[in-house]
Amino acid sequence: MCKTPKSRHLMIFAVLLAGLQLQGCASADRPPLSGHWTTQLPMGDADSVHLIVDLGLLGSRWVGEFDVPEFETENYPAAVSVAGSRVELQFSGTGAEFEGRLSKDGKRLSGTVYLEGDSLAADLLRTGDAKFSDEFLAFEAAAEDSARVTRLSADGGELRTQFNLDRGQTRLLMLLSPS
Amino acid sequence: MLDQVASDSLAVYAVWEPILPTDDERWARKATTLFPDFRVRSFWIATDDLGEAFQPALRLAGEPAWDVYLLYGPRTEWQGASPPAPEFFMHQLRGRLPDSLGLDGPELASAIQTILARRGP
Repeated sequence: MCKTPKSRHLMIFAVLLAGLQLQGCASADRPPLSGHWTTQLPMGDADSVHLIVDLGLLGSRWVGEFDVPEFETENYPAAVSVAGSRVELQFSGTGAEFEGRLSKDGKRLSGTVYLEGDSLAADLLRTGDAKFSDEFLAFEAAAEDSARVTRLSADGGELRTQFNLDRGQTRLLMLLSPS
Repeated sequence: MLDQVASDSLAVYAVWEPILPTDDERWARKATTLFPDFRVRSFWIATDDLGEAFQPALRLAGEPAWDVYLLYGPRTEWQGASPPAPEFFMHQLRGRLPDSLGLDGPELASAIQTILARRGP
């Protein structure tokens, strides 16, 4: 059956949602990392910010989403690496990273947040099940859709061709890091 | 910023490059959701060759061009291997490119409107 791009996106979205809902059943032999995690980070001058992280399994991959409400950062993705009890998180758009370990009872993630040369002790507590936003699920769904980007050869020839085809238009070209 | 420019005479290219350790094609696909605009074409390049090719056009040294926004008028043609110099650009490479050209959404939108207006109705 031929699917329209919209129905294809909806189908991928539904599969992703089902995958995230099933992660609890599939995690018997994996660290109990899935959940809603929170902590407060001291930022100097007695100020602190809330770091809220949701972690879950999507198929065999860990995925993460985070909020820092004081910085108006909501529903941002985090790259997640897990090796045994060791957990690394890279918070997109901030340059911040977390390195730490999951406690044996699965209730605590203890380690360090690295941000702009500073090291901050961080003790994240598991307070419930992961709550992923619709925006995040759509973001993850996009990763499964290879039609979203055109692969360029090393010399960028495909971009050059498109650029010249669009001659006669004003053109904005952005070179960006995706994560 | 694109919301402030309604014209269909604007073509936009988002080229996602491997700059950070986590950057890959999957992240590039995800990042396309940041620009839900039919005028935007998204590309992924697995090497930093293109970022390096843009260095001379921006007078940038020491790192591939990234986090940069280059604006071209309708007559510009890309000939040969080296990309053309932009008519205007902005960036988020503080300290490596002129501070006066640090990314400012309204200012970039205004520059786009200026070039579009030159074309006439």
